[in-house]
Amino acid sequence: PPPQARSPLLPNPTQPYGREEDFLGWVGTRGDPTRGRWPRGRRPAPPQPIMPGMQELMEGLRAAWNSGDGQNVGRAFYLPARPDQLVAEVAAALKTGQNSEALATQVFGGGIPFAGVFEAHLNALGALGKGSWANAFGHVHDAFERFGALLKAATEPEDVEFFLPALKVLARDLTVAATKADAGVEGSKHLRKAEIALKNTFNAMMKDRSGARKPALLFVAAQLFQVYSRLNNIPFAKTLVKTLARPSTLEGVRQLKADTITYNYYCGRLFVFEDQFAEAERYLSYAFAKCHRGAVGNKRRILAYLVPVRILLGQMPTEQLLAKYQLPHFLGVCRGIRTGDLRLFESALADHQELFIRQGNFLILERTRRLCHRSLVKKVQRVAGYGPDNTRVRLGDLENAFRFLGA
Amino acid sequence: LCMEMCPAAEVQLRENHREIEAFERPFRGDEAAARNDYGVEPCPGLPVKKYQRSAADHKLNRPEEVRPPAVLHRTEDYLERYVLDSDLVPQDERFARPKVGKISADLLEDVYMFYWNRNRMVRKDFLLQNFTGGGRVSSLAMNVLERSARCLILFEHLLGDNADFRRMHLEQNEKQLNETLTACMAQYTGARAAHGNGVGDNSADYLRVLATTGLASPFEPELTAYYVAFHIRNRITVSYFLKELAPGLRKHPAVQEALRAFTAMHSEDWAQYFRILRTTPNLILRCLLSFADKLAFVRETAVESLNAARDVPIAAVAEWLLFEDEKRHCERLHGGVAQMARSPVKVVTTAPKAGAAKMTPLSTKAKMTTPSKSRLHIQTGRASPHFSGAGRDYASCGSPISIADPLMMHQSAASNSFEPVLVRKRARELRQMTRRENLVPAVPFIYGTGGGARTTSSNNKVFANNATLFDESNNNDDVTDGLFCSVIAYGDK
Repeated sequence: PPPQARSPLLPNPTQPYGREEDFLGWVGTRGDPTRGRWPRGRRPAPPQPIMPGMQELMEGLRAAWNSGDGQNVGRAFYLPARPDQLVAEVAAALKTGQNSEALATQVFGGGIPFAGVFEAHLNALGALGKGSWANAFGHVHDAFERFGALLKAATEPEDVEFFLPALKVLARDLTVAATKADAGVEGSKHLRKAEIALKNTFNAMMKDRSGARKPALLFVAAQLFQVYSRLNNIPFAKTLVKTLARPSTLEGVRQLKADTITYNYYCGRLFVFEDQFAEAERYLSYAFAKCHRGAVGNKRRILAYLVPVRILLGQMPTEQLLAKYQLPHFLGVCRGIRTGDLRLFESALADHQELFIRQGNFLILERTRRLCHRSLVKKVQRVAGYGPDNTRVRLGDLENAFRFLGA
Repeated sequence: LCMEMCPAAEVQLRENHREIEAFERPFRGDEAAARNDYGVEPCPGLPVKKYQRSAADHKLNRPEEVRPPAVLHRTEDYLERYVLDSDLVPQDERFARPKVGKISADLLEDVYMFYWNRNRMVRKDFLLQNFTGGGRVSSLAMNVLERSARCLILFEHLLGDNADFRRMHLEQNEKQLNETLTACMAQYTGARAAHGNGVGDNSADYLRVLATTGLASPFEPELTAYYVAFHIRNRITVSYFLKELAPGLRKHPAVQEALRAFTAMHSEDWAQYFRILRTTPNLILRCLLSFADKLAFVRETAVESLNAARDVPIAAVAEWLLFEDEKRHCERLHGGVAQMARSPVKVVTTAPKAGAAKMTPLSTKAKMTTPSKSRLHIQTGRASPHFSGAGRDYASCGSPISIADPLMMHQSAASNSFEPVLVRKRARELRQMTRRENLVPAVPFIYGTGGGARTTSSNNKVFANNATLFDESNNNDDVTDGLFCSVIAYGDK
């Protein structure tokens, strides 16, 4: 039986992924969920994550705070992407006149600065209940700032270790809220504010001499990457990469594998953008290899960049892979390059041009046109009867081939 | 608000400081307008507001000095019709200066300086009224910005051989072109955002905006293509720009063409780049793509890849890389190769053979047409000094497209003589034109553009009768407004 959740708060950390519906089958089993497992037979569905109401949230938070469990304290601050029961409850409570400050002190007892962070979080949830992401972002930003002040004041390494998971969750909240607040609006002031806040945090973590804050660098960097790509400004992240690439920065620092993978993915994307394909391939392959086997969505995202880079470096993906991870837009391109079918290649590029431009793969795939030409030339050589003794292909033949394919 | 092309206070001020330029003076035969014989008076109605920077004591956004969009449109019309081709008018005595010995504005540079300066002030007036950036949107602003961009591109192309221009004005021109194109794009996105499409909705078709609001310009795809072509070397800018384009706009053939040139440049496909350059019917795109830095870059990549071959016939290379004549090309090639410090190109300097069509090109994608030297030279009506240099030219292959043959055009135009009588008549026309009633002269335009006024909104009914004589009737996209409007005889697209 799957292990029990360790806390009443969501999400269940032991089974964050791995839903039955997502499973596409081990390679070669064609989507059959019962094959390749022991004992055979349908397994029961994993438990749904528990959505706490407000009372449970507060109780769980108090329990975690008192027991010194930083992970669960952080988990209390997840901002739901869609308004749900928790949000509704909080909004109702706030509307009936209960003060969020009072609620926060109720959780922690008086005189603890952490209560301020929780109060701002409650305000954010209340604003979400009213449906305004801009206000919610304001409160989340507030929470983040207060938390930053708290973290700066914390001097002992145990305290810092206690607070770091909450920082991760709050950074993610900040990014999500900024994205949603800027969704329909022109200009991206929320994202810019978020960027400034995250950058300050990053610098503060860097400056800490005791090194207790260094594990935070990776996930703050990951959020910063996310913000920069939403701001359409990926080259700004170069400074982050330079800082983190220095061996002295992350030496001897305990890092979560998840953070490393995320960071590698973003780093690889940055290198793809800057045309450094060897480096990009290294980072993206590492991320893909170390990714959790059930995290199909994340693997798909990594593959969206890894596939074009590998094509350019000469390694073609199999059609099984593209089918497994649902990347049909690469099918036409790959088949065109493999068989030298220029018409198919061009039509595939034209069909999915929007998608490629949005992902930023457009230029890479245009470069693979050379490989397509190469395959075509090889084919012409084979077909038109040039053997090992007669290697000089007449250009007229090649020209005919290209004209035939509509070049 | 100032309803004239130049506020009266400024005219007076400049007259006192003797800063009236030659273009703003009355004509020699026009005694009624001139107040004295020396001709330093401005002809009433001719002066245009000069470009000034805002200083501490001289605020530019005073309402009595700022011209509203309609006046700015009228100013741009005036500049394009009566100023731009002035260098082709012989015997314009306003420029007669015994010391210098000029009898007409026979230097393109004079025209350029005047036009550039005044056009910059027009755009600055738009800026002062919040029409650029994220502010107000207007079809008049769009129209003026588009035409300014086209003129700036054409000027850079035409003056590119001039060493003085390259030394002093090239960067400024490019900077202004950059600003104009950016402002134009901002207007387009502003129009989209303001009229119900929202920024996040990228699936809106621009034709729908055009139909419903009248705030969209029919030249939007053309200008988008120019933006892409201007920033063609900057991969990041163009990638992000493409991401934000609406799909309807991106699928337009003009934009697709610029996109093909962009991919050709960045995948080092010089043959494709030159093919687009040779065969696009859009003249201004040709001008853009043959800017010095872009062309030099693509030529460098071409020479690098051609280095791998054993024998390169120089005639073929001259044709592929669109050099004007072979001798210069040979020098440049050797000079360039010496700079690149690779193994030198073994260039075969034989005369081109008659059967040169059989010569094997190195890129299989280059279609070998019969190289005919006559087509390599640009067919223009201008004197050759403008185009004798290397590197700033484009060949017209296929059907002979004459980009600008004003002499031919003039001879075939309706009323067509260069007598001073016409100059006087023209002065009268000008005075009429600059009256408040915005009368249009009944005499057909001799020089250049009839298609200057685009009427996209009902504000401009006054100009409706203007867009007649040498108007573009069918293809809006490829008409080059402003300078050589009435010329265009296309090959097939």
